[in-house]
Amino acid sequence: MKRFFLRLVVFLIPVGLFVVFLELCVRQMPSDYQQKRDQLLENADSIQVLILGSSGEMDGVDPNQISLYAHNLAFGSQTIYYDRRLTEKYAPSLKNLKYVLIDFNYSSLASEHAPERDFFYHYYYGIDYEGRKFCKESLLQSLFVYPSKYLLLQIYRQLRSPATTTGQKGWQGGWPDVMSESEMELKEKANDYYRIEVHLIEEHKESVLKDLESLLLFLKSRNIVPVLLTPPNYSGFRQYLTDEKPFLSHDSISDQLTQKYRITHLNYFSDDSFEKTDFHNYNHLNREGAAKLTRKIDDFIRTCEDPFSETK
Amino acid sequence: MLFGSLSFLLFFSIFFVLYWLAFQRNLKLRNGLILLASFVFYACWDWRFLLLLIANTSLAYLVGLRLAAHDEKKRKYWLTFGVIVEVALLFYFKYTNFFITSLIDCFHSFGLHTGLHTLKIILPLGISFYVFRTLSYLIDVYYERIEPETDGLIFFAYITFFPSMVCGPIDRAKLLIPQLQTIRKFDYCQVADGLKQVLWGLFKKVVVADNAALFVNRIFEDYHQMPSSVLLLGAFLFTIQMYADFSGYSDMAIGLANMMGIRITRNFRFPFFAQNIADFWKRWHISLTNWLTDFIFTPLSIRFRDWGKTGLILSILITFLVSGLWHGANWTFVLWGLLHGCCYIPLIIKGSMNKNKKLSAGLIPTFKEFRLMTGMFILIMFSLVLFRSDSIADAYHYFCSIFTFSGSEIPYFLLEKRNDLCAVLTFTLFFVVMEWIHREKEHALQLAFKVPFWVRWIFYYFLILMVYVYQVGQQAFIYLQF
Repeated sequence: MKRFFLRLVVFLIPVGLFVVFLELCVRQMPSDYQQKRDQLLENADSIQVLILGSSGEMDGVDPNQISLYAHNLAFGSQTIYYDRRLTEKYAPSLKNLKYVLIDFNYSSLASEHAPERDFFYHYYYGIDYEGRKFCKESLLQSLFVYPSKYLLLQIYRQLRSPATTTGQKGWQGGWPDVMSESEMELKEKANDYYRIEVHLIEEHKESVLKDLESLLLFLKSRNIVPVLLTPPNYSGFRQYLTDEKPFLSHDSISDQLTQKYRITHLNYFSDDSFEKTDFHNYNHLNREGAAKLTRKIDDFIRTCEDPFSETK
Repeated sequence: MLFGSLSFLLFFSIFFVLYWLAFQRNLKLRNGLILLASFVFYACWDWRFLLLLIANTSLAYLVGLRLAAHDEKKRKYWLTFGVIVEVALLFYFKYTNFFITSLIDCFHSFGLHTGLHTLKIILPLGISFYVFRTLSYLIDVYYERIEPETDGLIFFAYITFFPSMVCGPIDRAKLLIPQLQTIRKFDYCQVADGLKQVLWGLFKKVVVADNAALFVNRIFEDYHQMPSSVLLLGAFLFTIQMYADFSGYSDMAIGLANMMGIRITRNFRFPFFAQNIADFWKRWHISLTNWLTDFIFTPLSIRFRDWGKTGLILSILITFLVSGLWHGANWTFVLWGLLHGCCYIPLIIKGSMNKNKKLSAGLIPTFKEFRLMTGMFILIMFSLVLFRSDSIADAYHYFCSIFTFSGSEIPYFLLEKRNDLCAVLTFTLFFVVMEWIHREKEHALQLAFKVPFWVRWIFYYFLILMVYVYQVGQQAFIYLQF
């Protein structure tokens, strides 16, 4: 028996060392969540525009293109649940905050939160998803937080060229490439869009709307202007979205909210001024597209700031 | 708490240390520890059904004791009572809604509305397995093949034995109870071999089955939009998934039992190398095949012996009907069972049903073996479409779509995940080759060649690394639903 336990321990030593190595790497890897938080706190007095939302805003709204000082606090798959809590937590320290851009995509109401990202909000922002505990994740991030393939790839990249990922104002630089999806892929994505996203609206509508309305009320009470934002989708993709029902239902919610809270909804979903070369994929803008979208948003902000000025 | 999860690893590590180090000499304490661990293991799934498990086991224990009485009439009465309770339990939890919906559909087809509604019944985990285990115990005691177990602790430890309780193998009392009655001594080879079998099972489950499932789920979900070639790929991958998933679980269960110094029933003998349907069922889910042979097929074939081959065919068809129904409360399973039963008919007519098929000893199969194995694999692959489909209509449309040879465009999700698909196919090839090389062994990590220990260790590290890299989140075992 002793021989077995001894050999087992010897066998497990390299496994243990590997886990320790992964853990050390994970703890030293720069994180977007951490960098965006640090930049937010550093520039708290300057920030006038806060950009919330998911990947559409994270890589689609460039704060450098906005004439006021803007900060991008959007993350991939970020739902309104976190938009609300991040704002409630940090808005009081952003003394000059005037505008908050809130993602109101057609899939926003359907968004199931991504549980694999909950830990980041707990760890970097102290926000727990509905009281969820993160004991094992805090102990071993390498095993319980990151998908293994992703983690190994990140470690490999980090070892080859250590670099920070986030630039100034929470802007990660946007996607440099142009979309390359074929017609068939777009058709398939459109089917997915109905199957996975839009049809989930009813299921999540109530809780999402509750969070959204709380966020709007919070911002209104502080004289901050909330702006609902729907980024553009590629026209070649939109042509396959033939069932209008979910969209009409969504638009009616948008109308109700804009009337009730007297807010603006910048809806670029079907904006045909965005061309194929502006997209990274069917529903995400690339760097060029992000600059274009942000200029449109900036026009709106400038109009709000000075209603009598001429905008482009 | 799934086998292979880190919580199970922690659970079993504590159990293992206590089992071998703390309770080394005391049999009662050791069996008590097995029982406690089994209760904890089961309660982690759903503690409410632990009470059902305890009640059912207690009843079987008491009925077993009654069966020791000398009065034949009373014994028969108690056996009937025990069997009825067990079957009723299984029927209620597993088949009530199936029969209600079938009744509704039947009346509906005549334009009648019954006003019947399905009930909200949760299927207790592993009920099909532990009910079959209890039934076999009662019948074996009645026919005096075994003595009734008087030690309640041992009996409970047998029925609830956690490595095999929820997903098999369906261990027979004559194999497991004697081992629980004696002090297990630490056997280095057995424990180390058990650990290797657990690793191999984990590899099959996490790396092959779970990754294949990503494609299978997608293809079967949207099968009406997929071209024929992709549907064929879906059927192929589901066959691989099914085997890797279930045999992976069985390997882990057997390995864990071996680590406890207990040998349980072998459940798979490399079924992809079967050369006909009879050979397949001697290699696939062996414990269920043995159970059905002993308690359904043999009594039926004795009853129908005067009818010659017709009686044999009838016995086989009824046995496979039960097998299909055991797998799930759906007509797809019934049809799947009957289809397998029908495949026996040519063998029965030829009189070659019980002929053992031996594989050649060479490194590569002979042409005849390869031809028969391929044919068998294709048969199993197509029959499993029924197993995977939600309804017979779905299965029919799936088959129709395959044979219309429609579409040539590869769906985007396959192109997007082509690297993952290549990985799945590579690992499938790897594990099939490993199993072919070790076809005379219990499992594929009983390495056939003498290699230095460090080479073996590097191979084990490679498997562990693959398990780590290719994990795709915890996926439940397919057979847990049964």
